[in-house]
Amino acid sequence: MLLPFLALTSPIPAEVLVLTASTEEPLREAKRLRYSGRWFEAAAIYRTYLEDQPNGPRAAETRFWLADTLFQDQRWDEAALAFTDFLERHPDQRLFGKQARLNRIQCWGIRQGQSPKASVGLLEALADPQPEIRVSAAIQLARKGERRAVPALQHGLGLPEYSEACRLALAAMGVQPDSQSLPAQGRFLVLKIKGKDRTDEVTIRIALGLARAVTSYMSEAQLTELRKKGVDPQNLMELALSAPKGSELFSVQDKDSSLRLFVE
Amino acid sequence: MALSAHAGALSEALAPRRPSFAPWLLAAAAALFAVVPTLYVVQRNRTLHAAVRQIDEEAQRRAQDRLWSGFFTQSSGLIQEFQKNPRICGTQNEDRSAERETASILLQVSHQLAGQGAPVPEAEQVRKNLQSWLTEVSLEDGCLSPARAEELRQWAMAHKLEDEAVRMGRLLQQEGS
Repeated sequence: MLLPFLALTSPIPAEVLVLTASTEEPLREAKRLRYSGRWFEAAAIYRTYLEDQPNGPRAAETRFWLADTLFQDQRWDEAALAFTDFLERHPDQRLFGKQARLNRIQCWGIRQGQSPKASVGLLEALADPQPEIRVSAAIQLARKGERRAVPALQHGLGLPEYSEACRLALAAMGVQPDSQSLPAQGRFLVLKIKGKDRTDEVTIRIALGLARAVTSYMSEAQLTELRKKGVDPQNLMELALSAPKGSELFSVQDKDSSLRLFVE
Repeated sequence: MALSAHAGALSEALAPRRPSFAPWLLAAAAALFAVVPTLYVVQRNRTLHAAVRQIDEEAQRRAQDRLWSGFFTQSSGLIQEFQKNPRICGTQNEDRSAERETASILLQVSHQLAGQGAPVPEAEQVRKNLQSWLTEVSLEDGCLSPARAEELRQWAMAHKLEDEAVRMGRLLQQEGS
């Protein structure tokens, strides 16, 4: 009743008025259902909305949330298709688009080996222009030992936020990290570890660019000791770069082992 | 005469003889001298390789546990931040731009963890719940209406996201210690 009146008296375009009244309510309801985990009902509302208004002003985000609802409902194949539909229809949605690509990779990752489309999708994503998409696809492929993921993982070593995940994925595949793509190329950290019950000292070399990996060889007790000594475990690369070659950076020990770190 | 007739045979029999075991004994001793140190070195190398492999595997498990634990700890910290009174932006809206930024970073981590597989099964379910919440926060405007901010707080509370994140963070920190 109020809408025709507003349309006559206010400068607000009719499209916006339609949006604020009849369009908003089903979307609000779908969100409420989503928040209470009633995915199936929420997806049905989104679908009805898109059937009624396939090009409506909120079609883009509705398509995203439909796909995300299917994703939450663990309907992986449907969700992957819905994310693809969203990406094809709304290529200009950068923020939602990135999320859609990453979620689609999760769907494919779960379905790889069971659905041929999933494996193909992941392999195609290795050529995505965005590095985080390539690396995410490579991490998923690495779970199945797919060797074609190796170059993307090696490249990911150079991305600070992905470096550790890529290193672990490569290690799980039995592939040595390639220090060519890392900072401080050609320099290494040398760990000398001696167990309490061992006579021999074990030596492990790690590329300086992967200095963060050193902490995974240390127990919580050793990390605590390191911090007490005033060394920031997150800052080992800078510490090593400022130290002369051959020098010992630190030594720590706990009840099971002792560890010394040298820069090479 | 009789003896001289057998002289050839006797002289051969009575001649001092080199011990007949000498050549093969020497050969065996030489072989032992060569083989024993080699075997020792091979065995020692094997032991060292096994020790390195064991240490590497332990380090990888620890690194994975710490990535998961860090994700849960930072997520719980973000949820706590979200409950605090924020700065105001616009007309009485909540400035959640910092929280939005953190949510985007944690969301990226969550995608990486999804690719790795969870160290304990229930960690995966908690990660999924957190990822849903992080998706909502990261896709929102940094300047949130109080109603929308409250909606997100309520959602986190209803799903006990903070408690679960704290619990999983502690559990995995112990695992990775």
